[in-house]
Amino acid sequence: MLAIGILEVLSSTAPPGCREGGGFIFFKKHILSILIGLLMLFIFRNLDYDRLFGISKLLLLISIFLLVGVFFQGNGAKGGAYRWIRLAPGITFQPSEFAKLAIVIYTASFLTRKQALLYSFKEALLPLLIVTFGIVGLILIQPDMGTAVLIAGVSLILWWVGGISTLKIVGLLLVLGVLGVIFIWMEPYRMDRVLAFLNPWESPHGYGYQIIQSLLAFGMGGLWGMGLGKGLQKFYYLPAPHTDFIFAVIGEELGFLGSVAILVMYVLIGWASFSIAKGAPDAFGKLLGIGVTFLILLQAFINLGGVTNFIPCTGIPLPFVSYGGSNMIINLTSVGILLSIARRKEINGN
Amino acid sequence: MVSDKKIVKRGTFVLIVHFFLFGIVGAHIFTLQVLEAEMLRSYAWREHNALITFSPRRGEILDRRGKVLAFSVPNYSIYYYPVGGEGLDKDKLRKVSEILSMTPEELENRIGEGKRFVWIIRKLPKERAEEIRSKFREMKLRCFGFVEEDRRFYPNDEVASNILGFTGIDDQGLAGIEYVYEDFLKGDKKEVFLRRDAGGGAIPDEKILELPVLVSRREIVLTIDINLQALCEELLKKKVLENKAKGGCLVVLDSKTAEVMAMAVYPPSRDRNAAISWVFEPGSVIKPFVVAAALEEGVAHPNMSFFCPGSITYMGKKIGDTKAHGSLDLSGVVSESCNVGMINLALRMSPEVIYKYFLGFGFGEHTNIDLPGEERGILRAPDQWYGVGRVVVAIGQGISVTGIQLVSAMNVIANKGVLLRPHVVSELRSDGKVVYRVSRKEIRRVISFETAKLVEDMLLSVVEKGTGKKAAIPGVRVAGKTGTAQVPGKEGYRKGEYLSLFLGYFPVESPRWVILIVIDTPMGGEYYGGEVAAPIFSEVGQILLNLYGAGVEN
Repeated sequence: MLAIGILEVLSSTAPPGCREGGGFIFFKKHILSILIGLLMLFIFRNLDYDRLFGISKLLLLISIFLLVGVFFQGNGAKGGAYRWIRLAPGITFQPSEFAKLAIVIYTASFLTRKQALLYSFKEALLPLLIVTFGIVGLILIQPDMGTAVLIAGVSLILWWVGGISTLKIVGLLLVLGVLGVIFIWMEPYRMDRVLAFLNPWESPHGYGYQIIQSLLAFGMGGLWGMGLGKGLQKFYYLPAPHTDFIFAVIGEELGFLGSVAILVMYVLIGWASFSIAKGAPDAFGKLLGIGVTFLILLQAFINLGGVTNFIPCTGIPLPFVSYGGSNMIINLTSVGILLSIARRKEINGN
Repeated sequence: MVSDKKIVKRGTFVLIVHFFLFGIVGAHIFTLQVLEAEMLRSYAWREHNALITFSPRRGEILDRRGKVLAFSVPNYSIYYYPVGGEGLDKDKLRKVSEILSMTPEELENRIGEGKRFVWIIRKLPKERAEEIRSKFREMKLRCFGFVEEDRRFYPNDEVASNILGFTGIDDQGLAGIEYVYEDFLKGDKKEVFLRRDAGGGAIPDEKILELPVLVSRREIVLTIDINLQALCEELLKKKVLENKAKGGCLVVLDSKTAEVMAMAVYPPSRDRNAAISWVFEPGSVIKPFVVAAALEEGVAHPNMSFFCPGSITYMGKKIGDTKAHGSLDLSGVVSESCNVGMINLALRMSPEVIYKYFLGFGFGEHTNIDLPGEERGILRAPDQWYGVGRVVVAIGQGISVTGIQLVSAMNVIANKGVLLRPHVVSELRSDGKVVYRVSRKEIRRVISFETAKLVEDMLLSVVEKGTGKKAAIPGVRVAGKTGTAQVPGKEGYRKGEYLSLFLGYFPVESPRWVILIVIDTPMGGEYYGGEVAAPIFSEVGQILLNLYGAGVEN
């Protein structure tokens, strides 16, 4: 129950985080997303998580279908990217978000089912590789680098935690690293991202612009921040201040103390989530819980590391804080799954 | 077979790795927000703040009673500037031209190639601009833009236009007061660092509240009385037309301060002020100044007698008079405007002496009135007064003057010997506070009090019993001099072309107003100064008395 408290406190910090971004429409849509998310949270909390075990393959198929579908929907493109499916005017859904949860559920169930065969490359790792990187590939060509990296990262974590040998994972990391470098070389805009990471000040009005604006926001904030709503960087200096760069806005307005508070909250969520996962009565529950935990933590890290230029920047929202309905709903659904695991533990404990 | 324990162990490891990474991110943020904050902030400051120039609205011009003669109002100009190659097709061109109420061809011409910034319409009133803007919005046109620009207004239309001048399309003074006081009227630009967004737009900022105070409101107060000016212009126009003349000018000067109270010219012009730039031979109105020189030099006295047979021959050249005046004293020479008497008087002085007094009265030099385009007339050095030139200067020939010079010289008599600098601006104000006041400025003493008094007596007799009887104003004593000047052409003087002048002041007891009337080439039959110009003087005098009363003091 402690976990619920922490999580809901965090959820409630989301709206002020978004209001900094833009007009009232964003705010209303954001609130709506949170409400839907909380509904999903409630549903999944009361749902027995074991049921996910059975439908994991179905969920995976649905996500593959949707991911392929975005390319066939004529009006799905926004700014040259095929990330969205239009449900109604003004309401869109991002299948990659759905896919990331589906793949965690599928991987957890797969690893549970194949526990005896994990030593076999053909029986365990190969199918996982095909399924996972098939989906990662689909997401990469949307293109949605951030979500692709997140799915790949969480999958690798789950594989290792689920029992794949350390040697295989390290080998895989090396191969992925080489492929990654080639992949980046191929596209000039990806190359720019890396250059921006290495030395943004080299080109303050070119590739370095976005990250410099983000760094400036942190500098403006200083120790105490400029005060809620008083930041300047959100006035079109920062790209996507309400989504990918919301942490920069927080850093500017709430200062170092605010930034650290956010970090601490993620640590607490991570701690609480992991405690729940640890206490799950079965391997599927444990793996599902751990998968969901790192889905949130790794996403947070990719975002926070990116906007502070600690790692190269990839566009990804900050969990529970950023504007972006699909992400909010899926993340809250993840929390619902965690709570379902926690509930089972309580029942068992009693 | 993997145990649950192993899952927890590996999971914990991954969790610790994550916490470690979060810790590093935290340390990184500490660097940014605490250690490097100053550096980042100063960089950001340069990006956030733009130097913005605020130009004040052009100052107003007021008359001596505070009536507004010139002011600026915000207007809107429309420009065409296609962004990203977005142009106008035939259909849109037709619609837009309809909205702008011009023909499609006109619009097409203005747009030209349509690649560069071009003005479409300058300075539309606000309401009209708003209307056009909303229609453009409906059409989702993005290749047109709107800019606020001031437009100059002269509420009295053409009245005093020769004094006020005008401004160009870019609000720069091109003539008159607008030109002379350009820098003052334009005001000081203020440059302020203001916060702006990445697109250059404004960010709500407390500094914006201070902006109205940053630029000052400027005003120029003129010595002109716009009511008097309007009446004078009307009168002058009427008289010029009545006399079938080419034009004319009429100046009213406040005698004590040398403030120009009215300066009418006909035909009216915004870019040329005939009262200061028209150079002409003055004829007989020069005579009082020659007499003053003779009296001051002691070569003549009022009771001195002259004989006029109707003409005089000097160096083989016959100089005529209006008639044979017979025996006259000096006062009679002036009141009857006797040419023979004046030439005899001139012969009693060396050319150098006459020249010295002409200079003293301000001829041949700028009066330095605060208006642009003033001419200095033509006053040749005495060694160049060849032949009859030696003597005809005494009857106002071979010397050219401006209207303002004559008024200014006559004011020397009215002021009993002192030359003042004439001016049309009395005060410069900034935010309602007087920052500069143009005060009465004595240039020099030209003649003694006594001499001035003697000349004044003679000028009185001009109006009382001489050529200027028609200049008389009921109830007050007037001093003045008529003039009927021949107009020089390429070969001698033109036949039948004269300037008709009257130059005088009143009330004699304590002179308040000096008035000059010049009618250029009256062709309506009458052309003598005493017949054409003198009655106008009388009418102006009565206008002044109606406006300001007969009281001696203002």
